[in-house]
Amino acid sequence: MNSRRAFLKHMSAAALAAGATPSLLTWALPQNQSVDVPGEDGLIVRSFRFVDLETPVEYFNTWLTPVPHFFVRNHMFEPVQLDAQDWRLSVGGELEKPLALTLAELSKLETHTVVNTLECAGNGRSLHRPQVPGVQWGKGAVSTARFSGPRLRDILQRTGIKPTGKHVMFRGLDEVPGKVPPFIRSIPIEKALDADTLIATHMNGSPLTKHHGFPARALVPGWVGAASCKWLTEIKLLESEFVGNFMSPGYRFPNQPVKPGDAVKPEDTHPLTALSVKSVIAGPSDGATVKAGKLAVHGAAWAGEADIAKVEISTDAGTTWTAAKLGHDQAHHAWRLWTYDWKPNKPGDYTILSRATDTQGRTQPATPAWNPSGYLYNAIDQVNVHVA
Amino acid sequence: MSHRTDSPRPYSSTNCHPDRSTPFPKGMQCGVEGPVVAANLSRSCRLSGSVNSLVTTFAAVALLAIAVVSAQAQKPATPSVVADLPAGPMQAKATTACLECHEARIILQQRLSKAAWTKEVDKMTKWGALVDPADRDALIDYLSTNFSPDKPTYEPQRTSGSGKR
Repeated sequence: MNSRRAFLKHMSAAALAAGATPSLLTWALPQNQSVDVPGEDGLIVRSFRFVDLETPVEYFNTWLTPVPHFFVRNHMFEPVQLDAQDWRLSVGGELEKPLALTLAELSKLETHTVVNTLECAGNGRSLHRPQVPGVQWGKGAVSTARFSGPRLRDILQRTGIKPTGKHVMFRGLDEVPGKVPPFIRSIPIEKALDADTLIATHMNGSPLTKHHGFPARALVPGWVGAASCKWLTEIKLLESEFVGNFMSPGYRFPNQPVKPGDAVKPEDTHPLTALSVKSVIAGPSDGATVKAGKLAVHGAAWAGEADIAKVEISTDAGTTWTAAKLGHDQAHHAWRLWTYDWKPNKPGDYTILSRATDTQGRTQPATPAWNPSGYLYNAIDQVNVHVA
Repeated sequence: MSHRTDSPRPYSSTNCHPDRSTPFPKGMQCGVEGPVVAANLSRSCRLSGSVNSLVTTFAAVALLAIAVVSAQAQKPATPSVVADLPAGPMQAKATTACLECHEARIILQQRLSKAAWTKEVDKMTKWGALVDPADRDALIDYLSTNFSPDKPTYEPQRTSGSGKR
């Protein structure tokens, strides 16, 4: 049985048994009210201030996610004012010739295009048990778009790289509240020089919207979304990994499996880099009632820097598995859509599972790798449906 | 080309206590359920709380007028729905401590043990949340009582996205 559903059912029953009174719910927001966020259609509001919006899984039906459906993850306030005329991208640190590029200068560099599936490291955090703090993402802090802009390595070739330049730091224009540490992160020089690592200015053919980092963002394909710093204003080459909250203790993963709920020492962790192998069922929806006959089970699967080798579907709670058909559209760092023609003949309750395997031989596990920050949830996906 | 964000700005707890005594005009209160002009609201909150109620009201009305003109000129403001923290003896202090930097939804969606809430409160205090040391334990109790793992799952809203960025 779906452990999450079972958990929720159990907890709801427990809450009622414990005498959950209407007062418990009085502070809940009216669910029939939507939140107007211009340009963002039908997204799940995890937070409005800061803006954190999740893509509902039923939107995972196009290879490229339309920008209004693309999830939004902000750690802090977006820049209040961004004037493209005044904006500069400074490039400094361990290099020969520091630069300060205007947007016009950036746009004159050769443009490269990468279709990338961007996923927040915390996608699926709400599914971990015990629960962990942070934005309680469901399954939809992931989307795919065609990003365009100059290659980072082309910029670094203009500046020249000193032998001491081993890491590349990105600083965005996020506005920091209180004494929160600034959102600055770094990636190793090898990834920075990858042909697909961009300073992206466009998304699906249009200039980046402000929610997605206008006028320019890093695009570090196949890696956790946090690597792809938005509202980029500074690139700095460093001798070693940037030292700051969002490199440590933030965005780190235990070196060894952790017993759920256990603490992990910082020295027993490493920085998050590439995404895990993962598939998600976009339809039918969990809890749906469907007609007997023919039904398309469909969804998306991705694997960070690896490619998807296969997606298998089980409609009998994991007893038997059958390969799904992978979609025609593909790119190295992008998800594959998949579909499976299911013909349920007998009415009843069914548990449908999806399990992806990638070209590195990684397969989605039956149980997620719990960790204190709830990163990289990638357990076999599951929906329960009733065939009428 | 100017590209203004519509992300609401923080209001300062020292300038804008979102308690019910603050005489903002309807629709311009901080931390109160109901539609607000989010982007411009925050600025008015910052200014308004630091003066007496009469001036506050005048300033808020004036800023509302500016907001309307501004909205017509550049459409920066977006109506939103602001969530509130649950009633309780620590509601006002939690609002002051937590909602200066982020909205209530971030709290409403958590389901954490007391140990986890203790870590969060201490981390946020380190990051600038104004928590009187004498209130720390009561704040942890308030959060861990209202947002414990046995509470029903928080049901989020969706965006309507009616406007154009």
